[in-house]
Amino acid sequence: MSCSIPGLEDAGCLFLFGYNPNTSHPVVARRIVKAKEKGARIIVGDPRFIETARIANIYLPLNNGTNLAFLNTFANAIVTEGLHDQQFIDNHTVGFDDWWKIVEQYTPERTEAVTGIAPQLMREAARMYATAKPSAVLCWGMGVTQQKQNVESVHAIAAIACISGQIGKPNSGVAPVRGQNNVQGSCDTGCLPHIFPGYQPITSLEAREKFAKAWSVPVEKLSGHVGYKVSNIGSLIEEGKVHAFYNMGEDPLQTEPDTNKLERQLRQLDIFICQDIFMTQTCLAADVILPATSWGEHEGTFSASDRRFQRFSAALPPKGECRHDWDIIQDLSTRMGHPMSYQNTEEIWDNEMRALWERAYGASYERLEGLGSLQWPVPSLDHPGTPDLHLGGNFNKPDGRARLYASDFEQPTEMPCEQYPLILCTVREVGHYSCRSMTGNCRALSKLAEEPGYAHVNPVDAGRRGIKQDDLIWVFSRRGKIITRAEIDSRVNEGTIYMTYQWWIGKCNELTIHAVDDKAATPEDKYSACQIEVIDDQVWAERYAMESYMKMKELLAGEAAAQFGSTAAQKDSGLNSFGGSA
Amino acid sequence: MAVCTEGHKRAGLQGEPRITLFETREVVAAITCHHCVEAPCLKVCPIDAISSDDLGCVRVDEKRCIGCKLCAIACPFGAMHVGGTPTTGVAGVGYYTPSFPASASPILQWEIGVYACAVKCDLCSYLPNGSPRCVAFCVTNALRLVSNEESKK
Amino acid sequence: MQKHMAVCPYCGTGCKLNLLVDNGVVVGVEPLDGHTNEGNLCLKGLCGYDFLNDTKILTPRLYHPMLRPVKGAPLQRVSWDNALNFVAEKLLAIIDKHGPDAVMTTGSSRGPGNEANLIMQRFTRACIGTNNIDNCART
Repeated sequence: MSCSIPGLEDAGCLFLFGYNPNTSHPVVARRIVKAKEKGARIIVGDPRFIETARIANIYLPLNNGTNLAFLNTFANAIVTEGLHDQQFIDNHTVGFDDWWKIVEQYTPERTEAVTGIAPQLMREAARMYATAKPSAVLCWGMGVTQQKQNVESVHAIAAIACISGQIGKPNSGVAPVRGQNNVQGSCDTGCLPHIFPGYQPITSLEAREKFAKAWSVPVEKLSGHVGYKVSNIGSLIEEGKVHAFYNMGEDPLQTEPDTNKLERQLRQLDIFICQDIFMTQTCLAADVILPATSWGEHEGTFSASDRRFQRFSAALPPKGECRHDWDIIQDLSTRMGHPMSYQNTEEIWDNEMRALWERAYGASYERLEGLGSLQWPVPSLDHPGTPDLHLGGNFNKPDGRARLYASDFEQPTEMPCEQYPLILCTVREVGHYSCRSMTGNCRALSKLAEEPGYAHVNPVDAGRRGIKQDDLIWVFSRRGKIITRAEIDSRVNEGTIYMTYQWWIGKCNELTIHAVDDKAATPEDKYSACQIEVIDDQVWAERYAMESYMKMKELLAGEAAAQFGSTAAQKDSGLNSFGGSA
Repeated sequence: MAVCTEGHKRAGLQGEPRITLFETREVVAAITCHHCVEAPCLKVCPIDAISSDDLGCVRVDEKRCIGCKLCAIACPFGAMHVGGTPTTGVAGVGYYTPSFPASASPILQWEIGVYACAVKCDLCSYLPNGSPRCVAFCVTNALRLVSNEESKK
Repeated sequence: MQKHMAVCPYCGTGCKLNLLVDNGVVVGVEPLDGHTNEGNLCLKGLCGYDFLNDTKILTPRLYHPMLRPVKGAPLQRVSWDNALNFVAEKLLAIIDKHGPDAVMTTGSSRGPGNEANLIMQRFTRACIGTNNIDNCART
């Protein structure tokens, strides 16, 4: 985010595009409500009438999978209505003319049939955003990134912010409100195939020399070519390019698309190592399972989505033989010839992050003590941190100017057809998180939301198929068939169903298509083709869902029983230790 | 809903949310007991398991309740839930066998062996300071506890 | 009762909270006046702690290292030494036969935290010698 989360409430306009704060970040939604109370304008662009749409000044019901067409049109409207900031464009950007060559084709009249937005509404929204004072923020989430033209859409959003001058000042700019608690941190710390910690490119010899020196290895040891992305791992295994996978703290067999296929692929690895806190479905396929300490049992830092470093401490000692993640990896590294001997997380933070990335230098553990938090860049120990980036229109390029990129709209990969007439879109729900291995083990949260989860269906689509509220239905696509419950919801658009990706039995990721873009390799979770059908014998369906769920629990418990010395076969029905959620 | 469930469960009461969300395109509202002055649920209970105190808080004595569901039928707001203690976790029973679809009304459903019990909002009167947890934890302060006098204005 | 300050492990907002511990068990959570959350928490922050007590509602915690001595064999509990030596041996053999790019690792976007990620990427780059490190950001 180019601004801060608290700063959202001081913006003059918040444009939420493909982002549902109420389920993804309730406490951010609070800021949005406060912004509204302070007089901010709210614009929402989403196929669903999400919660924020109810308090929005303008709601843009765009069609699924038309993001880039919409964004190009929005930009077009800003320029043709004369709402752009020519001074900002002249002084702080590059490439306007080439960018305009593409964007000028996207007039609101021409794209109405594709996006579903009436020209007048489009122009009104463009005016509201571009002329907002003192600033406007364009927020987005997975609605933008988990689609086919994700990278192009983000370029388009950045261009919109630049040409309207709604960036480079306090509480403005571009706000991808990142989902997971430390996704910003995993990028800050260089867990990406093309960068070292601090976004220093691995392709730069200078950077490699710096890190080689810090790590006491010859510079030739550090690879200079960009690595593989984990969303491609399935095909990489099949092509014989990847033989070993060391997976830490992720459950891809729950959260990645087309999970049935991925499971077959992962089982082909020579060695599959999982370092986790729970016995997940991914651990079932692993060859080696390393038990790590959980959040609450170790300390460290997280980077929140607004670039905010914060510390967290341990509440409990490690259980059983669990070890801290960094301790396990360090031990393994030493055994493999690269010794590391850190004693605690502060040493790691100081030596691996602060010493090697100037922009994090000022974020010492001392400064982050208690309720302290610092947003990077924080280059020195007396620097207060940086809530807003790009102030004065300075961008992270050699000439300090933003680049404007435009692309043409293309349809999503798998369009609906006669056999699969509905669009399947994956979303979040507020009471569970991601793969649900943590929240599913919490009493109150599992009481409120349990298997097989819900598919939100528009009343018209449900009525046509004889589906009533809470009925169990089959949902199927080219890749699989699953059972889930129907939630008849007038807030979702006709022709699309929305499912959350938490459920094992109602597992929508068995149906989603594994189509990743070639730049970021992000899967197209928001658009697959599917069909739904009511199950005639509802009582049978209830029992089937319940039995499938219990079988899965037993399977995982049985495998985990190996750690107490008994094999899955020997262990008494694992059900005894699973007294339901009572 | 979560803090409601947790709070009651910790106090040994039914671990069930007594406030629900009603979400449509037009309105999103939290529905809970209105603590009616002439509460229909109180009137209809055959064993006087529902009582009203001086402040007007209408409460179900969960231990006394026989699970007849008359109160759930009587409530005009649908604020009376049918909860219960399932047999899972007892004598090796790992999970119950559903005998009703979830799409049937909860008032019509019953599971063998489940001790049904009426569950509704008690303004968190089981807490020493008796202040509703849902109000305290609402992130946007959308909920308010209104006294009888205030509501008359 | 002890209080331990933490940051919520669920979404990217970064709410500060205290974990309340009594007798070695986490019994509750209280929100703190963090810069972003100002004393608020959502239901996951408030009720999303009891998995720490190994409730086994969904799936059990992992306590001991386990491995399959050959592919497809049932899991066996082993010591840390065994497990790490097994992994080291296998990885070194694969690197020897197929090169360092045949190994893929992931940092985590969730609970492990920044420090664990820093060590993981250093291990991947300085020990294995590849840039095949990624994280679960996209899903």
